Amino acid sequence: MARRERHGKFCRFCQDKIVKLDYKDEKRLLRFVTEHGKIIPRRVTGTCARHQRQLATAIKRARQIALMPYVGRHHRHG
Amino acid sequence: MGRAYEATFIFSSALDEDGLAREIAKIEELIAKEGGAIQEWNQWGRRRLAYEIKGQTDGYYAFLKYETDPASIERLGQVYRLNENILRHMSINLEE
Repeated sequence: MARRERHGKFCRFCQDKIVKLDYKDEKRLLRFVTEHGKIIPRRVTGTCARHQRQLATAIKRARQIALMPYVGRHHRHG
Repeated sequence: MGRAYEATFIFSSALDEDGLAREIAKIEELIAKEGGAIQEWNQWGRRRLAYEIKGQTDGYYAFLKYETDPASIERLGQVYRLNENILRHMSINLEE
């Protein structure tokens, strides 16, 4: 499926802002999962290994507390 | 002085205002009994869940930053599990 290519060359976290990746910040995390809820691989997002690991942990935690779905579309809630 | 943790709670949407306050007070008391120090509540309020938990589609989110000794995390977890009104809980070590 034609997914918008997002692979910038650089890791979004190293480059523009030093932010502690937080599992509560699901708006930011949603940008790193497909519409089926799967984590987008590094080779597509250009994220560095260190931040991709942090990202994956945060996403898994967000899923655990139902901030993010395990599968399927995330419905926009009020 | 214990380690810093952040606990996440999702309370049942069936709870009313004071029901919630009671649950929050219960948790604070539990942590105090374990010799922990509560730093800060961060309550988001009612929100739609990304998936159903125990048949509910909405939950009341509350995050709590606090300090305690590592052993009591396990004990606290067991008590949370028994509590019907807590749909889900998660404890995170902030000093990763």
